[in-house]
Amino acid sequence: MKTNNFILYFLSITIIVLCIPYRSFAIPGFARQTNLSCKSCHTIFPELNAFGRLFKLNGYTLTAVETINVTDSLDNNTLNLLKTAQLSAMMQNSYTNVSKTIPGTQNNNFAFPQQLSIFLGGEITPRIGAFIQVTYDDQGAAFGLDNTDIRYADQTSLADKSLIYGLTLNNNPTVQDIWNSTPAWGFPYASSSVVPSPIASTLIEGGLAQNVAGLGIYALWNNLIYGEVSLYRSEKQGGPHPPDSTASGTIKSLAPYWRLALQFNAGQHYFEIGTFGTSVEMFPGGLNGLTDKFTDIGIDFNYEKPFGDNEFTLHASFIRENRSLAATFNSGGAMGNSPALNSFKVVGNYYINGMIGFSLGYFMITGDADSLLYAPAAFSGSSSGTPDSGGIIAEVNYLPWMNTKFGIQYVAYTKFNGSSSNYDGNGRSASDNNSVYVIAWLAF
Amino acid sequence: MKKSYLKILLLFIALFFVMLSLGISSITRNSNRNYQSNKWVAPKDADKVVNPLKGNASETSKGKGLFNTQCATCHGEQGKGDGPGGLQLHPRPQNLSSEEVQKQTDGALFWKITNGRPPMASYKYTFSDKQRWELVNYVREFHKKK
Repeated sequence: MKTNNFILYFLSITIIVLCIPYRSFAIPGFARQTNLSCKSCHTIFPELNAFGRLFKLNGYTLTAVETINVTDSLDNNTLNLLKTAQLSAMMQNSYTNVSKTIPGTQNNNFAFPQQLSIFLGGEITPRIGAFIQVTYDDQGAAFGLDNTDIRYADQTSLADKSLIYGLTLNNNPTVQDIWNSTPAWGFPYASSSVVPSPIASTLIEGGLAQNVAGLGIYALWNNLIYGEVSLYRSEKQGGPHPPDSTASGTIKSLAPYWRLALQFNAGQHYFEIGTFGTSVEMFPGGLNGLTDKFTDIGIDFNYEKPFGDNEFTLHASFIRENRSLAATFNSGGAMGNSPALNSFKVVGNYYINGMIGFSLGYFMITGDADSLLYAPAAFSGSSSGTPDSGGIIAEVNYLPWMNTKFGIQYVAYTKFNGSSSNYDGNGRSASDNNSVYVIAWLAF
Repeated sequence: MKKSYLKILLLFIALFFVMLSLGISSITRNSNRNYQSNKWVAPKDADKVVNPLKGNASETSKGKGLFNTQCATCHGEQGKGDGPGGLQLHPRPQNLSSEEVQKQTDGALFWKITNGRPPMASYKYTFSDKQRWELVNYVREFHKKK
């Protein structure tokens, strides 16, 4: 039974991560609310620029449209409601070709839609705003709550310097982050849902998305130092409420998340360097017994530099995941109880006038070998028992209008699940999983 | 990969790059546009509005805090219009220490902060009247710092 729980747990984590082809993004409702174009907040959506980061930190509350405004007898503002609800939609349609057809499946697939999202976003009160995404996923054929971030924000001064501070209530660690180097908003911003993905990824890279609820406090001082601390608890979409003996991947107690970043400009060069991470202790199945512990420690770096109407941006992150898999090891799901995992990502983007984007990224996953954790299986397993994968992602995007993106992405693997050739023991090479992905991304 | 699929894929890619080249030529055609040609002038009535906080140093200090938090991202801490958030905006954020800005009346500056004009945001519903006047006071400080 315990082994079954373990398999269910790891399978669900893997499926969650593999089935996250999507990234949510800025929404036209914000443009309507602020009367500003997408370009005010983005280089090319969903990547935020300095003003976009500020808009998010301020709780999505900047408003230029007429509101229903009520003040009481003491001149306190008691209602500042947008006259129209800020509703937006997003549709991703895609085509994918895998270099070598996955056995028993169709190649050259259309996804129509790959993802359809409805957004509610913007000011709720002058100090509270929201980003709420509800998504229809073609694989699950169902709507579900996607990335959600509700904020309270205010400003004051500290040591004669400005201070923006606030609270965030969200359902995915890093969805509240304002930089594009952390997992929730990291490159690639869209990817195919029908290609094989590496067997392992760190927990913070989507493993908790929409399965937790967290409350955090954040502050940006002097536009220089940013800090945040949040606490998460299991809140699994589609799972038993409250979690019971049938639940999988339930967090024991609370999982802390931290973020610390330093940002500054040197002339026209923008730099950010920071750290983020989480420590999660969870029951693979049920609510009792041994637990598995994951400690993800990340560092990240961002750089931006304009060149006239064009702009270069660079995002990089490294995440080290230390694991203590007492529950999994005890149930025979792992050879060792502390196999570590590393994830490195870097991407450089060059944007021409906000209309054309060229991106080149590199990713690498390495970790300790474990032939039970990374078991052999046709096309998705690892015959060597190692999670090592790596490759490049090249992408070209064209935005004839700011709210439409047409892109081509090529993913080339140098290593997949531990090897460059015959990685699954069935003769499949890493390069057989190379893919071409064409996307039409519409937001309105 | 079957040849027929390869043809479809190549067709997609060719179509994409045709669109891309059309986009590049469109950018080239527009690269000489004069972003500053449409001058932003506040209505005459705005000039008549009197600044209720004029000369109030403590309110000016509050304006500085607001400016550094919410405006410096685009206008720069020294108000030169060189903040990181404004580098890709058209027109570029105004240099608030310039004669062009400083010769405007307090009422005109208040009106512009209130109503905005893309890509300058409107702060009518974000800041109170008093906060916007505090900002006007602080904008005047850039003239002294010049």
